[in-house]
Amino acid sequence: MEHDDRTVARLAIEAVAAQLALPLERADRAVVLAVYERLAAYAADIASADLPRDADA
Amino acid sequence: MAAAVRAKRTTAAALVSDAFARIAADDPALRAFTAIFPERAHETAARIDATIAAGGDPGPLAGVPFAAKNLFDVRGVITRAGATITADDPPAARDAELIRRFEAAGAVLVGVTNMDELAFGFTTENAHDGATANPHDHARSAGGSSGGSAAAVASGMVPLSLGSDTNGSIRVPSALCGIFGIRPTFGTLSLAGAYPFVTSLDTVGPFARTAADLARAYAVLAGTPETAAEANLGSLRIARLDGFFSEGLLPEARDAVDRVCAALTISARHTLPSARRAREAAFTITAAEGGERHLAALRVRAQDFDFAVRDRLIAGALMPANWYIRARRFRTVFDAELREAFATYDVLVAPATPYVAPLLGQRTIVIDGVETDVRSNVGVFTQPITLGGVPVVAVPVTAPDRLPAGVQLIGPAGSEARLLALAAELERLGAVGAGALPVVA
Repeated sequence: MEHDDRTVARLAIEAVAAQLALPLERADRAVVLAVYERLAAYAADIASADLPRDADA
Repeated sequence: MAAAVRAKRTTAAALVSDAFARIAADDPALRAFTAIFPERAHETAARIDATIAAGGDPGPLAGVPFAAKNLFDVRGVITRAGATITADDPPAARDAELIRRFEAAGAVLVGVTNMDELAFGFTTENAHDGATANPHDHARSAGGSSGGSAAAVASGMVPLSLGSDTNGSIRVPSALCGIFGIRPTFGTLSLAGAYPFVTSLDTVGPFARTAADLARAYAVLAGTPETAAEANLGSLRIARLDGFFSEGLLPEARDAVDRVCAALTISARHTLPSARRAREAAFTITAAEGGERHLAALRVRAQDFDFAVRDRLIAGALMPANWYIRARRFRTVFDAELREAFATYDVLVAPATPYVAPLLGQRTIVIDGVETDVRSNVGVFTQPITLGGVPVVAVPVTAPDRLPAGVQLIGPAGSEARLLALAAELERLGAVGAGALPVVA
């Protein structure tokens, strides 16, 4: 089954939060999701840049 | 002020008493301070006056009152960093290194100041300690996250203060409050005793109302000789940053850069092609490291965080490692662009913020017809430079009937003396300056 990006983000947040024992029920899930989606968009943009092979992490 | 103390025209005790009188008069309206230390300050002042009476020299900042953002350790005081999750921490065993250096030069700590919780914000609207008001308009933000320290200096309550700058937390409040501030080269000033936020990006530095005071404060903190103006400022190669830094800003912010460039007769322009991605990378690194740092507290005390901070930290803690590593690797690209720029130019000029101080509580602002989040966007021009780790002096552009705006003077690593000298020259030319003290009380 395929999911849209928002559903993927929501599922990822819920899964990792459970793994890390982070209480999403005490957060504003809409804000967490919005920030996570922003980070995902940034990651995609940065990933599209050409990085030198020896870029130091 | 220090010269008057050393020449016995006044005393450290008198300066400290004056500072507390101003704090009593002005701080109820500004909410810049979260704690004051009269007993400690008067004891320190008495020691300085005794040193002078005995013919000694207490140092270049003799008797000068100063404040520190409440993320700096103060001996015997709990370091709150604008949070309540820190309220049960043990009191600090010793002063932070920068406080120690200021006091070793004769300055006197009078109190600690308000900030965004855990330094994660740009407006100093703190859920626990209230919002710091801008001395120029009490309905507006002082900027953040070192807003209390900036407001304390801008209002004249103290002549010097200390802040931290991870993504712009010295430069943004400098701009919005109309004072000078410096983000030094990454790693230059000691972070010992400063509550950490993002280890990869954190810096600390001073605020002042004049370029000369800022230079003196920086020299004391860095342990370097106070440098006179560079011999040949006229030969500096200076360019205005174009592209990313010329888009998405309101006229008053653009006017500030115009004014500085006109004073320096700058015609050259330079573009950093990766500036947008540099900002994205800094944002990503901040979220990841901030989220990881506070993960344990988020698990058990999520309700005790400022909601504006909590949800961003949680999102950061949840991100895949790949996003963080890629953002760190991207520094290589941006560093190369900065190296190339500084091979041609000595100084780059850019706006500090895209607009003047927003209203407290304001959520959005319209720029170029697009509704934008006020809080996060105010750091849009400081955040990319953060990634490069290079020094920046924020200089204020003020006018009697306008809110202050700020300009970034950006140089290669280690060029603090040159940037401070350029700030002093711009002040001498009348292009920048803190202007008259705002009437607060």
